[in-house]
Amino acid sequence: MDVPEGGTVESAWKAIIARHPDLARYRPYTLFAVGHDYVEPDHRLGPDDELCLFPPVSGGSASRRPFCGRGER
Amino acid sequence: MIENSSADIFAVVDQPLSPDEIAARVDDPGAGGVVIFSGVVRNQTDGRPVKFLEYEAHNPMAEAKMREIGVAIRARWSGVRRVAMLHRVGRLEIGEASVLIAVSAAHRGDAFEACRYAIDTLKRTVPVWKKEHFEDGEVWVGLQGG
Repeated sequence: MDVPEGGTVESAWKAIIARHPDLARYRPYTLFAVGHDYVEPDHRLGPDDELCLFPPVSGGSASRRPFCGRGER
Repeated sequence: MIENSSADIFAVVDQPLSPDEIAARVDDPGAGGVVIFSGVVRNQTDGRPVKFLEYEAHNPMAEAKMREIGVAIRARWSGVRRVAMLHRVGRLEIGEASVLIAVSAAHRGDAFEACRYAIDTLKRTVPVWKKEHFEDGEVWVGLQGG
């Protein structure tokens, strides 16, 4: 998938949604990562960056509900 | 004083986890205490019986995030001697360990605190996902809206 050079994660997300509209509803739960680090939507992508889209993480096994960006557990 | 940090271990594995083995990985003559946390698969979620769980991870990033936790622990608790964190992926049955964390330290306080910090942080930052399989369906945890 091509996104404009110097584009942001947000612009990549829009390009993805244009191709896969069904994903739009998952935006509130989506985490973005480049390399081994989480990034914000305004992060600018470099030429060789690999952008990952993650659902909320839920590793371990002892909590009732995973972290979903609201600080509950 | 982090002479043992290169011996720390952070890995995603697809084999059963052994508390004895992870205890051995943090063995250190300067340690006065070893704390091991084992996260195990529970048989129900909010009263709904669970048949088994399935875990997936972004392995390289998961290992990098666990390594970051190890670095943060060493910066915060100077008495910590060694840290080991293992997360299992694949199908896990009820009662099996999905995550093992071991911390050895000169004194027990540091070991307890660092181990607690490690599991709490892992659950927020390490890219691992859990699918719960019930009698009547399955669900990836976290996509229900929190």
